[in-house]
Amino acid sequence: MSEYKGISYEKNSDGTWTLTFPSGLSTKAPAQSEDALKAEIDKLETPAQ
Amino acid sequence: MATYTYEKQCAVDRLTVEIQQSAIVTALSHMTGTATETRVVFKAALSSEDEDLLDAIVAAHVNTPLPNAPEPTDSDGSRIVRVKVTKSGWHYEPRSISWKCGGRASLYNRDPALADLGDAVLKFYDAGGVALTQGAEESDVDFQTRLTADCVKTLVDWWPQHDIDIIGGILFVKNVTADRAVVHVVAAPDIPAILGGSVPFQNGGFDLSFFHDAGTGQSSGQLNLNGRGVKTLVYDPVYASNKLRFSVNHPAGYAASLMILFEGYKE
Repeated sequence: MSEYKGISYEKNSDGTWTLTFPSGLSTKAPAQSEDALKAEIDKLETPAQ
Repeated sequence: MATYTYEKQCAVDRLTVEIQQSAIVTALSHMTGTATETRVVFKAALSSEDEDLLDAIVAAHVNTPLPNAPEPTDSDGSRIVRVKVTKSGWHYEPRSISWKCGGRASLYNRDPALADLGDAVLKFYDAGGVALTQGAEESDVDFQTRLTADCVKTLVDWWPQHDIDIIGGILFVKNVTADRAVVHVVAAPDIPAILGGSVPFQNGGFDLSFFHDAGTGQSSGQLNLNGRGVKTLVYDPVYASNKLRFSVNHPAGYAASLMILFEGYKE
C-alpha cells in the first residue's frame, strides 16, 4: 500500500488499482502504470459544491 | 462538554484508566480516535492545572491496549456479545432533503432555525447534458417555464461537511406518473472514471413509474435502503469523496417530488 497526495493505492493482480480516498471510500481504477495513475491524481481539483 | 485534541494515536481503554486514576477531578465523558488523532471529551472544561496534567498523561501514554479481560458470560455460561452500533459519543441523526424534479428553488434542506444547511445543491440538465441555470435577467417564472420544457435530468448533490456513519436511507416519492423516471445514487461523482470514481451506492436504476398504478390512482411510494450496518464516510474537503449524488432522469415536464431521508450517526 502506497500513498500519494493523501490517497492510498495498491495494485491488484489484474493490473487494476484499488484507491482509498480520505473519506474511507474505496474505488477501483482501470489498469494503467503507476506514473499514469499519479498523473491522474495530479489532475484532481477540489470541486465546487 | 469540553474537547481536548491530541495529534497522537492512543489506546482508548488504557488512556481512560490512566485519566480515571489521575488527579483530574472533572468527569471524563468519552474519547474518539483515529490513527493520527485522539479526542478526549470531558463533561466540563478542565482547570489549567488539570489541563497540564492531561497533557502530561497523554504525552507519557503508550499506545498499547489493555490485556483482554475474560469474556463475560451469562448464568448459563453463554458468551455475552455487545454489538457496536457507532462511535462513542455519536448520536443517531437522520437527514431529510427534498426537491421536485425540474422545480426551480424546490430544494429543502434546513436546520431547526429554518436556515439552509448549505451542504446540498439542486441542478438541472437538458437532453444535451447542458446545465440549465437561471439567467441574470430571467424571471423566476420564465426560468421555471424553461425548466418545464427542457429539463430531463434533475440531480441533488449532498456533500456533508462532517464525518458520518451511514446506515441507509428511505426515498419517498409522490406525484409520479406512468412515464419512466429513473433514480441512481453514486458516491464521489467528481472523481473521474480513470480513478474509479462515481461509485454506485444504488445500481440498476430505480424506476419511479413502479409506484404508479392507473387502476387505483396511486402515485406515491417509498423505497427503503438498509445497509444492515454502517459505512463510515469521513469529510473529505479536498477530493469530495464523501459526496453523494442523487440523479433522476425523467421526461420533460415531469413534476414528481422526492425526499431522501438518510439514516446515520454523527458526532
